[in-house]
Order: sequence, then C-alpha cells, then structure tokens
Amino acid sequence: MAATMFNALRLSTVEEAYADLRHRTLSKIQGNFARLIYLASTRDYNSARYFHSGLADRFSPEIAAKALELAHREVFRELVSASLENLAHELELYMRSTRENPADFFRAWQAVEPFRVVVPVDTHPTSAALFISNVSFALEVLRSNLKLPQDH
Amino acid sequence: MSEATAIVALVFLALGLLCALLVLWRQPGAANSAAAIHHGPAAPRVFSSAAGHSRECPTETIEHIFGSQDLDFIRCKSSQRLRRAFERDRRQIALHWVWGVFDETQQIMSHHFRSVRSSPDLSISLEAKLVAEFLLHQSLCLALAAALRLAGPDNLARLAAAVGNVRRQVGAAVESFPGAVPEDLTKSSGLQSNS
Repeated sequence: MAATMFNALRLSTVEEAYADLRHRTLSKIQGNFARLIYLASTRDYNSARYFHSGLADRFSPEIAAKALELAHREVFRELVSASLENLAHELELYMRSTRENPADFFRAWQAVEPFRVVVPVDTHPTSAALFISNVSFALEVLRSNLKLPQDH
Repeated sequence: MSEATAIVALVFLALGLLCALLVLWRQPGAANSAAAIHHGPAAPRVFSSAAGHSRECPTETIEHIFGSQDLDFIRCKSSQRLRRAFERDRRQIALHWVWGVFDETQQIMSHHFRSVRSSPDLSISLEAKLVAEFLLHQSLCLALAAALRLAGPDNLARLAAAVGNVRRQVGAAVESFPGAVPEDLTKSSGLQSNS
C-alpha cells in the first residue's frame, strides 16, 4: 500500500517535472529537431544519464533525469513519425537557428553525422535506422535545394 | 505418376526453390544505407549494434516505412540518383524488419515446442491452430520479403499490417499455454502487444 502510494507520488512528480521542462525550457526552443538536439545534449556520453541543473534543483536529480528521458523519447517519437518533408522543414529550422553558414553546416553534418548520437537509448533499431536514414536524405534534399556544392 | 501428383510435386518444388532464393536474398550484397551516398557502402551501424534488442517496433514506424509519402517527396524534390539511393535504403530497412520478425517468431515457436513437448496438457487442436498461424505468418513474411525485393516498400503497408496482425494472433495463442514461453521472450518479439 505504502509502496503503491510512493510510486504514484513519484510518477506524479516525474509528470510535474516533465510539465515544468516543457513549459520553462522546451517551449522556448523553436522546432522539434532543435528540442531533440537540446535534450540529447543533456545526456552524458559515458553513462547515458540525463542531467539538468535547474530541474534537478526544483525536483531531484533522479526525477529530473526521468523527465528529460521522457521528453527525449517523446520528441524523438514525433520526429520518427514525421514525414520526410516535415523532417526536412524541421532540420532547416534548426539549421537557421544555429546561425551557421549553411555550407559549413551541411559539410559538418554530413561528415560527422551528429544525428546518430541523438537517438534515445533502447529505441527499436528499425526506428533508429529510419530516423538516421530520413535525416541523411533530408540533409541531401536541403543541400541540393539550396544549390550548395557537393564536397565528395 | 498421375498428372495431379506431378503438378503438386512441381508446386512444392517451386515453393522450395522460392524459399531457397529468399534465404539467399537475405545476404545483402552491399548495405545501402543513406550514409553510402557520402561515405560509400557501409553496414547500417544501428542494426549491427542493436543485436538482442527487446522492444517491439512501433506501428507508426512500420506504417512510415511502408508508406509512399516520403518517396513522393523525394521524387518531387531530388535527383534520380538520390531517389534510387532512397529506394535502396528504405528497402534495406524494411527487409531488416521483416527478417527480424521472421526470426523472432521462429525463435518463439522453437521455444514453445521445446516447452510443451513434455507437457501433460498438450492439446493437439490448439497446437495445430498455432502451427497453422505460425506457417501463415512465416509465409506472409516471405511474400513480403519477395515483394520488397521486387518492388520496394511503398504501397506494401497492408501486407506489413497483415504480418503484424498474424504475429499478434500467434502471440495470443502462445500465451494461452501457461508457462510455455517466458514473458521476456514474447516481449522481445512484441507478440503480446495489441497496439
């Protein structure tokens, strides 16, 4: 009984933290692709643990990590479901938000492929493959539409 | 040998040859991931690193892979070279999924047969129904793989959905045998989900 109450309390706290994250942080980031990059950047490369200092102060590091993971999965799911056209639009939005020179952006993204490390842990391999493939093709379409020269 | 027997024998021979061809087809000559456009042929890294994965592929992912919306967009917006690369890539992803569910279901059935072999509650009619559903599932997978090889994944959404539906039926049948298959094994193939 006590354990069930504790679990319910924890769940509601994670939901509160998730709502807080959406309201205070994610709503200020334009576009799902930018949100995905942001959320993936809160995950440690070595431990795959999420950390957000503000959220951890308001709730706890564990609750904050759960909320970040939840948000990461949700944004990723939306992007995997998005059509290639919408994904290309999201990617273009993100590229413009970086204020990077488009030619440099495409060169870096096609060489380093940073989108490979933004996939949430335990994503089904087919979903991950679809996402990576779609981002690669969206990049190529955007690049060709912007009439940028091919590097390779 | 009568004419009818010869026809049946030929049909079985043709089916055998078809299965052999499909098994040979499973060995991809070259992985055609999107990365190949820029870096040359390379195996999709997400596949090789994800062995032993234990979650069901979301239905929306399957619908997306087998839909035609993205291909229409690529046809309008890009070159022939990119369109061909896109078609190859989607075919690879779709085939990987098909062979994945084919193998997982086979694994479930092998485990189930090992478990129920010595069971005193063995029901021949239930087992026969399960075998029929299993064979239907595997046949659908083979048909889907053949169609993918010949035509690509777009417009095959209904066949892919049929594979998913039969998987769920096999899953429900396997689960009706208490303790026949460990929970984690049915989860790994996604057989118990009704999504």
